[in-house]
Amino acid sequence: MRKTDQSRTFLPLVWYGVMGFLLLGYILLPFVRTVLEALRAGDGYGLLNFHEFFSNPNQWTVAKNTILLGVSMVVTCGTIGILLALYMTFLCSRFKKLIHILLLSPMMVPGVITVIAFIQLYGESGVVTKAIQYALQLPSAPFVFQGYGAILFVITYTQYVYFYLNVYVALKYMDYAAIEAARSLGASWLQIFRDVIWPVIRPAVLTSVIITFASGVSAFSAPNLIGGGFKVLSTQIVRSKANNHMEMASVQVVVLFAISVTVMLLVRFYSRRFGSIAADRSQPAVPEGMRRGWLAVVGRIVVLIQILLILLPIAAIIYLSFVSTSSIMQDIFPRSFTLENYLTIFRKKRVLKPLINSLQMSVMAVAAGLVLTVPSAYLIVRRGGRAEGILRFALMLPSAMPASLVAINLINAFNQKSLFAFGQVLIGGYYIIPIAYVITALPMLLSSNEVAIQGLHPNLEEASRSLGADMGNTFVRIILPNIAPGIMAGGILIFIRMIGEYTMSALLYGVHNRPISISIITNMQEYNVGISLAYGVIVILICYLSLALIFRLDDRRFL
Amino acid sequence: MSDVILKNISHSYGAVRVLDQIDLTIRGGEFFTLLGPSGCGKTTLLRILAGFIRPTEGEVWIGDRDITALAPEKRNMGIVFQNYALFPNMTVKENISYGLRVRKLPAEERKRRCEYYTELAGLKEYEDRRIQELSGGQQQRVAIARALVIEPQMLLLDEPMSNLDVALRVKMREEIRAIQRKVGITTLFITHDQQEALSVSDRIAVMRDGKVLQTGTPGEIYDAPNQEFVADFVGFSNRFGGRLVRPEQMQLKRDGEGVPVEITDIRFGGMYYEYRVRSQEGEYRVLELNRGNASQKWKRGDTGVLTVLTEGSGANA
Ligand SMILES: Nc1ncnc2c1ncn2[C@@H]1O[C@H](COP(=O)(O)OP(=O)(O)O)[C@@H](O)[C@H]1O
Ligand SMILES: [Mg+2]
Repeated sequence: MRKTDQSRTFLPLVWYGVMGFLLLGYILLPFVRTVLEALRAGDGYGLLNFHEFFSNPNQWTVAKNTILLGVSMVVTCGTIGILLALYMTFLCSRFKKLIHILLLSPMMVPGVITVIAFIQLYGESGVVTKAIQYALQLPSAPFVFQGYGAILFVITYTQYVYFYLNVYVALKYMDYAAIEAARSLGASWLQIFRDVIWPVIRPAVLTSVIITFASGVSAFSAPNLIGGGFKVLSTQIVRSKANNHMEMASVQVVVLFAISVTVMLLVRFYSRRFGSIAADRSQPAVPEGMRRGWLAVVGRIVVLIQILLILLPIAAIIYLSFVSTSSIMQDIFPRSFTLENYLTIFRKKRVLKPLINSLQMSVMAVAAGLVLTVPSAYLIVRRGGRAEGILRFALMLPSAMPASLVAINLINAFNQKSLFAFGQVLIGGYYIIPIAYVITALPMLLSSNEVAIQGLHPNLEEASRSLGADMGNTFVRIILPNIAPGIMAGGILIFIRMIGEYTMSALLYGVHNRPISISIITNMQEYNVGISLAYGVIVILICYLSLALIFRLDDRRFL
Repeated sequence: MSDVILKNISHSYGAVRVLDQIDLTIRGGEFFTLLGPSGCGKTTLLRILAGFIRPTEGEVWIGDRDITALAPEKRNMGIVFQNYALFPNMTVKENISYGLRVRKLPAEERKRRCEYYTELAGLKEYEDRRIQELSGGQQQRVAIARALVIEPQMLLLDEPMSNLDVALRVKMREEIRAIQRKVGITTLFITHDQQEALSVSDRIAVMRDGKVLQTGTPGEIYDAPNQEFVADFVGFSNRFGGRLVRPEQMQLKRDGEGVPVEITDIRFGGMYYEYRVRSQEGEYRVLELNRGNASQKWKRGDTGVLTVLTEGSGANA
């Protein structure tokens, strides 16, 4: 009779064992390895490497640049993201859904491709640059698209989405009646923002600050491709690794980690001083009259510019992908169209391979990530005990780790035979990239699975049990079908993020698993710009199709 | 049909004791109601019966079989949840046949039973609808049919009316009662609504703070509450001459034997008049059936005498 009770705890125990083994072997111990590597001093351990780092003025500059980039990104992304969210909530009336999706779309284009597209527009031989030069009859390019300003411009364009989406969602819980009340009491718009709106969106803003700062300090594509003399930690880490200075790479990645965690903790500490405010919305519609006036006009112009900025690079990259490389390089407005770039990709196995690799590795990562996080999320949501708390903490850890840290950890742990890889050397092999993808995907997958499972009332499982279905049957027939849409939507989102992943790929790829992002860059550097752009268009296409699939599966996500 | 016996059941969530030594026997085939205010432990008791929680102490028996440790899927109990818990990924028909499919019953038998209970619940024309396309009342019928189709030992209903509007509640409770009579199944019905409990039950157990205060037929509970809480919970009662007396068991007269009172307020309830009266000792409510013009004679400020009409065996106040 007690058997059922035992099996209830036995299966979870097995699961915790498996998860413990994997999390220990692939996240915790590799991180310890990196720290030890950073502390290595001759035959012993010490702060020698750190001393070397901090006594070198160049390294200081790199660290300062990194922080500068993080902070300026928070400022620019915060300003644009919050303004757009306010406009969309209070002022936008026509084509709201379409504009909203357009505003979210930069998230769906891999960073590498965005940077390439920007280079095609604003770079030395970019369309916009040449157009201005031609129009004004200048002897040379009117500006140099490189360095701090260029990086900030490109990253802001993609990363404002966090602020925008988080604030937009928070504003859904805004009580419009409070705004009306404040207005009737004679408050100005600025006062209304400060006293009524800000308290509601503050938690969302603080979360966005953390995410945006973290992605700013660990940004790699833009600094790497258009950084010029502006060096940041993430680019130096790749360089140290390429020069086989694993000790220096480890120091740099630990410093990067420290910067990002410090800011995260500071913001958390600051935000704990405020409770979250969740007002019930008493009035479903925005009060009339708000939509008129000069604010609305200014907002509309900002949105138009933003959408133009979003669409221009994509249009350019699609357009140029149908032009031969020589025409791209020589003509101001290339007009000789050809399918040559695409044909090359699909005809030559060697050229097609990176695309296949990336598709395979991303799908693998999503599948493995789901296998690991679905049962974990289920146990965490339904049991919620101490063991589940620890499991959740461990699974969320990678969200505090910059991508380059994850990669360096793996290199340090698996560049030799490892117990956790069953005696294999993983570095240089095919699976190391999908493994890295899985690790970074765990937090997001876990969260989206948790949301899906929380949406499933526990009564459904009980109803199924009472009707005679055992736990296994209930899982397959009731739980899985009902959480599948949410889980798949989360999985596809990860797939989109991984298909063009660049930072970890750059640190971990080898001859067998060269991903598309690397090929996009090498083709570009080898003057096969056409191929590079065609790759980009194919990836964008894949991403947008995946996005469409997300909307079909889970139509409330993002909206 | 076997009796269902709860023997000395106690349950604690952590350190909080929510059920305290419950002893109940639900007789085979009867419609038994647990009545009590929200939070008194009704759902917990139902979940113990269904097997979703093991009681901290005590045993659950069906006939001469101890099922305390039996897994829920082996208990063969039909449950209608407060929120119905219909499977959103299935149609009406698929919901109803679910219990038969997991039991791997032959297709022939499945079809026969499904048709019977679909018909019984009045769902014939909705068979292929999705759950989201049903009204609250229809969803409840699906939940009932789904629970009955497995021909369970017992039917458990946890506040099934709480998501319905008032008019529908009365209709559905009549329907549930009719279906129960027809199928003849032992039923445990949970509610916090005394009217509902009184009108449908064979027997009622009144609960408070994890204890059963009184068990009896609706008549016994109403007419002879064994304590003040029970009396108040199943309707208003006056404390009159040291006893609990229902308003309709009292009579107002112009003169004669009785306690002198003054009428402070009169309310018209259609079928009846309700008088608020005051004596030296306190205030009372008196109900009088509306028999045409009989009530015309009383006005606010009138004085009269108050007597107890029927000598109920009411508990001492
Ligand atoms: N899973 C639980 N954990 C802790 N306390 C619970 C849990 N479920 C119910 N309770 C508490 O037990 C008491 C009885 O709850 P319940 O059986 O749901 O009462 P009822 O159904 O009569 O409203 C309540 O005080 C409730 O807060
Ligand atoms: Mg309840």
